[in-house]
Amino acid sequence: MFEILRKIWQTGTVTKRQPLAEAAGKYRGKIELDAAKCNGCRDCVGICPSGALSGSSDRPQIIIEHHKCVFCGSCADNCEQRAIKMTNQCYLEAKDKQDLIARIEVSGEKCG
Amino acid sequence: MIQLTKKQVVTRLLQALGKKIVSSTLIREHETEIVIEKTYLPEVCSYLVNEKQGRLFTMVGNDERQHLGSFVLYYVFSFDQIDHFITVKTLIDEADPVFPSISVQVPAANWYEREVKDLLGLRALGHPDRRPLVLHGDWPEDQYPLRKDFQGPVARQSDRETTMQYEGRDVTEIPVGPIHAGIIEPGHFRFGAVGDTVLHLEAKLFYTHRGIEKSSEGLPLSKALFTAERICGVCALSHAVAFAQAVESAAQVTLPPRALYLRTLLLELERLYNHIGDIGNMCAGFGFAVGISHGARLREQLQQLNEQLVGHRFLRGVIALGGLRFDLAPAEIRSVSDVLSQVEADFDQLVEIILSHEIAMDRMATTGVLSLEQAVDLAVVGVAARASGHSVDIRRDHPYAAYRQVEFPVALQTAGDVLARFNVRVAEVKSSLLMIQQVIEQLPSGAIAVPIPAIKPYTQAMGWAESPRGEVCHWLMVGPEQTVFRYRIRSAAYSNWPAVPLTVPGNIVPDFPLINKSFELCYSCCDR
Repeated sequence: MFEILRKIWQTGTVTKRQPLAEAAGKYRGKIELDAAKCNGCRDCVGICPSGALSGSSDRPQIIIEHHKCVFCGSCADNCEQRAIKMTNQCYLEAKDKQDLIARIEVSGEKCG
Repeated sequence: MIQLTKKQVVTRLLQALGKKIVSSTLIREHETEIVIEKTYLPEVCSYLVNEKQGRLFTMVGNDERQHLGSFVLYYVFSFDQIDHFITVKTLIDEADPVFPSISVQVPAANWYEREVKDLLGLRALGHPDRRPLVLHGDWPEDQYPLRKDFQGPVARQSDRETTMQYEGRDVTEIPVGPIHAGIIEPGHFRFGAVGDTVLHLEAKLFYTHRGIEKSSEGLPLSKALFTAERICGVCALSHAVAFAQAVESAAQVTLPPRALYLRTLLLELERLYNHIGDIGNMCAGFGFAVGISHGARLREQLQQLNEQLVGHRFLRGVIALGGLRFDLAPAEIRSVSDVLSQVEADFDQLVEIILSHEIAMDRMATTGVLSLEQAVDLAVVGVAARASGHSVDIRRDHPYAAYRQVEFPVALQTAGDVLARFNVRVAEVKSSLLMIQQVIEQLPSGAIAVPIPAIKPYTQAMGWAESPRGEVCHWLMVGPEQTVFRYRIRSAAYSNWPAVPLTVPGNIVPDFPLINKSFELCYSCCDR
């Protein structure tokens, strides 16, 4: 019994309060697409395993549905233009699902 | 003594079967395939298991009507002593979709045969239990989702599920679940209890069947890897490694040594965070809050280490087909040994506290005994098997990654009770720490991945890994254009669940959560 109490005393409080510090450096969070760099090749759309990225065929646009993303980072790895990167952002909650859908107009010629 | 080649050993092993074998081929270095007529199934399988000490590794039913014109059953047996698998293949005609059951001779085949009936409509004649397993009783009897010509969705019908009926008036039936009070996943347990003592337990699972095997059909291999990673939360990396190994084996590529060593390092990190968390969680079975909290705290430290290393707390997204997706820097590898040395000291204190606690010992010892015979008969794997004295460890028996290069003891206990499973986990934490140290010392430099060449359609291959709960086995058949044709996931939970109801009778009802925790089986990778 004494040992247990001593262990508890030694350990102290380990719970941390929100908001926590930033996520780890390698953490794969919210995707960011730089519209200026993107050439609209849509490799990212093809590689995405969960269908979070899509592009409409009639206009140069990439749609990112953040609620479908599984944060694997394949899109960022495969983007030859380095237009997509995984950020450190881990707080993605939203009241409306529409807020999680980003429609990004890109300047690529290959679109459409 | 003359050294026999592997082919000679296998030939001798199969000698007694003689003319029953239509053809026998060595399809890979570690795998022989024999084709037999379906009438010989019970005889051949019983010979391999009961006389030659083979272990039912997995069984796959496959709809190959498109290119072969019939259904195919594969029974894979593992021969641990000679590091070899023998696959028994048999063709089943569409017009006569039945085959003789082997469950009476080989009890481990029970679930597999019921599943093949549910998903492919191939009926095992003479099977002692004809109830549905995967698809519950409200699924129509003539709809088989794994057939290639299946058209969904189907209309459900009235339930035809039955449970054990007790005749004596003294037996109280206690239904528990499928919705539980804790954060446990869905499973229905029906106890037949006399007073406080359990007489009989029936477990009904597969409430969260997601049809992963069906939904991954036709997926490109690189995308199917992400599905494999998400079969289960806690053995994510083991599943990913097993799938990647199946693809690598089909493509016949050799991985660079650095990738193999890093995979071993990460697999052991996965075992560590699970085992330490589980040791804490087992304390919940007897309400020992100090143990739970300390277990959770240590697990958190290890998961934060995972996040630092690969960017994901469950080690997802690090495996690629043919190696790893990114390398670990020397500084990161140094941080592994720093964190682990802290955790080890803390962990020793935690184990000391639990094992010196009288109530903990009283509750754990002689509770939920799984005998060696039961473990062998049901082909139980992992911690549960080793705690009953069944020495199976696929890291030693069929080494993969860099397990051939590191030395480690296989933890073995003979009591088969909750305490034995606790002790096996403690010993495995120690051997994981030992292994990680060896990996860090020996870690070679160089490339971390090789490209995967095009794989011939309808190539079959297996991948396996020892997850924290036991071995997982992924059986894969590659279809046209580098897609998945058939994917069979056999997780540790799938092998071990049938053993749990056997260990409960004779114990009191409040012991069940403790017994269940000591097996620590997950529902999601059993249900898939």
